[in-house]
Amino acid sequence: MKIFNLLIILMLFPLALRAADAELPKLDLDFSEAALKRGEGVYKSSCQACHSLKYLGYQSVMTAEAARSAFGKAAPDLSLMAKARGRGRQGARYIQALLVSYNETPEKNSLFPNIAMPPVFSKDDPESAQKARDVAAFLFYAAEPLAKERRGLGRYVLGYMVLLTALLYGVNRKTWRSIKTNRSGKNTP
Amino acid sequence: MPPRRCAGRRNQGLAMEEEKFAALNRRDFLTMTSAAVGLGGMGLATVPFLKALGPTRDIIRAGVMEVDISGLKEGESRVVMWRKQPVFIVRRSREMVEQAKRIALSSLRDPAQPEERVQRPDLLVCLGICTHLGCIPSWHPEKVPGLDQPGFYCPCHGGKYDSLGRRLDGPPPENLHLLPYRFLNANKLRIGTEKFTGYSENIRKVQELPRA
Amino acid sequence: MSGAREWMDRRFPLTEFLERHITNYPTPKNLNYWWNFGSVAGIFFVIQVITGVWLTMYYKPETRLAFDSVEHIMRDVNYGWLIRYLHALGPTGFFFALYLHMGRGLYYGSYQSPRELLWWTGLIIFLALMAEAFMGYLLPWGQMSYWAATVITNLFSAIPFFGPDFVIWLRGDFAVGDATLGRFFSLHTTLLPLGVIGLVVVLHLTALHRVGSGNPTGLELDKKGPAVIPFSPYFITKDLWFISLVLTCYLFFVFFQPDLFLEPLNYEPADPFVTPHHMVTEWYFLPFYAILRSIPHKLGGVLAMFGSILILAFLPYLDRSALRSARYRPVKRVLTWLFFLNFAVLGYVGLNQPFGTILLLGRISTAYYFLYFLVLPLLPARERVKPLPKEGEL
Repeated sequence: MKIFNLLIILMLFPLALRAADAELPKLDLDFSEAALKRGEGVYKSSCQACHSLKYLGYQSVMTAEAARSAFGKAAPDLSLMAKARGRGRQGARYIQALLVSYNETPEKNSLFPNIAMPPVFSKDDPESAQKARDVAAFLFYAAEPLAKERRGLGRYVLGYMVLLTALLYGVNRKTWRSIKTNRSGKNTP
Repeated sequence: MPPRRCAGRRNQGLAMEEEKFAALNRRDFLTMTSAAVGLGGMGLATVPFLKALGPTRDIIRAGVMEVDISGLKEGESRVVMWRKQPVFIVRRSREMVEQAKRIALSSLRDPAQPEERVQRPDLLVCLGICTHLGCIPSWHPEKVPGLDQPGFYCPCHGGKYDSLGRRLDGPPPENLHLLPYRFLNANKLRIGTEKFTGYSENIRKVQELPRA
Repeated sequence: MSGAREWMDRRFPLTEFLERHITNYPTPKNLNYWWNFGSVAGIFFVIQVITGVWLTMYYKPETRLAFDSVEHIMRDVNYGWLIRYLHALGPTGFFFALYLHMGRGLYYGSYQSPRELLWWTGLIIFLALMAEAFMGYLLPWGQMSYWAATVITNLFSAIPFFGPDFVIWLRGDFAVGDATLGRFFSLHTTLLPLGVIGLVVVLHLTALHRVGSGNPTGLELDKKGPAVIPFSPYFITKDLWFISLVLTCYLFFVFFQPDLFLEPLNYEPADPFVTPHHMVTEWYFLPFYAILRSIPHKLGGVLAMFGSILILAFLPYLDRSALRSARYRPVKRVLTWLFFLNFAVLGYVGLNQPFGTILLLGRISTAYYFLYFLVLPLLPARERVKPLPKEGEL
């Protein structure tokens, strides 16, 4: 059974890896309906000019050609950006951090030095932090709109699986009990 | 598996037998429950796979469309494609309305009141698929071939419908099927709904779109 | 009901087969949980096939369409996200089970005579599965998909004389593109899973049923003796409950942490002009990736990588100890546990960039990996072993 315990630990070990993702500052993200709506507004007013969001049906205003000549790179589509920059919610945190990390140094951005994208929010905008939070949350939603359904269904499925495992464990124990106590006899079919 | 009992220890043996029996019963109950839970779960697990074969969300989303009927003249019929199927939109004239009212319900194979077929008497919205074998009937604003009133005529096997799409003659068993729609204003229709309830969406009586 | 069974038995050896190979199949009583991972691997194979069949209904194997078709599955197909995540996380479960299954073989000497064919068919399955996973990874056409395929197909350019031309032939083009995607899709969905893995699994099980399972003592047990019991119901219930446990863990990740095992960069569509800064492969390839990168010579690295798998085939001849199981061989026991630890270290090395300390660690670990196999033949003459149990005591 010692090895058995080891196996359980092995199977859940990956969860520990998740905790190890501590590079980014711990910024609090609000994923409520209201935040998502605000975030969508921020996307439309501040991002859609260059960035498309094609899987949600949004085209960008600027063409890839124009972006390349203006900034050196085409602005990538944002539909999956929250997933492309980190696992789980890390990607959204990255986006938020990026948007507030612009500064006056030659590197332009402390998180992503020499980034091609210009600062999106003006320095004097008091709401820039809030906007960054909201658009990050919105992009997190955009990357997987059905995440809530997934988690909801997951609760039922996992509950069921725990029950089933317990039952089957019980059946196994009962089955083997007759073998384990039978020390003297032969094994008759 | 019951252990071998020595002949002289009957009482002890019986007690062990009872315990075994009880244990077996417990295992049986447990086994039965596990089997039920397991098979039930496996049955439920097939559901996502079966649903995955159905129309995808984007197809359902595309099944809501708006049609501008401002240019539709009296007696004119227009065909739009909805969910990859033809939909007839007909501007019915006064005479068509009167003629349809004069048809006795008892003479119809698939009786239906005019109020069950249209939301507004001057506009028919129905599926343009013959209920016989699926051809697309043609609209005849003056006279359907073989009849003395306007309506639809299916060239495949001679099915005939009135200006409400009700079956008058020929092999079709039912009236032309209806679909949910709503008047956004006098000139605009919204047809179809995102909630796909399958073919049991009411095809026999006109229904309005939910005001979502 | 029995009439139906008689009708069947006269025309098809169904009852006879079921009784011989499942119901009454003689299995050692003392198997521990390391013996469960074969069936666990089998379950993951079934999951991959079923989810794969469904994905193929909506996936489009063309470079212009592939990435979008996967997002179509995720967003528009009913429960498409579930089928996709099941399929994308399946290989993790599959290789997890397979490594523990193979580790059991290593530790308990399951490769020894008369189980050589069992071992070799298993190795073929392992190799085929790695090819299967590699080809499948190209299909989403993400950044990592494209560049992993580019790098790994490039390995073959190390072959003297033919190498570079072979790579072009392999890809069907001068770079990974539609030709490559088309053939990877075909092989991944048809030939490899059913023709190779399916067929060889059947051979693997056939070989198993000829010689019977090994057991933790390494003793060859009398099939009619006291230490052997029928497969049903004992190992059916044991397999069922353990599979349920493994699936619970697996489904936890599918529903609550699917992206933990998915490379973030693969959520970007493939860009032939931009190579990712940090090339990572899926976790189950990491140890072999580390071995590849620890040899500074191109062909040498390739040979070392393939050699590290092929050397496993020689185990029946490298280890001819009269005692199979490491349980009774203290030296082999320690060396083998170190081997497992070393494998994990190699995985860690593969995850990081091959410079400085990491590179040194990788080289030491690669050396230990191969040394283990070279030391094995030397052990029987020198080691002190523990006494074996008697078959009657089991």
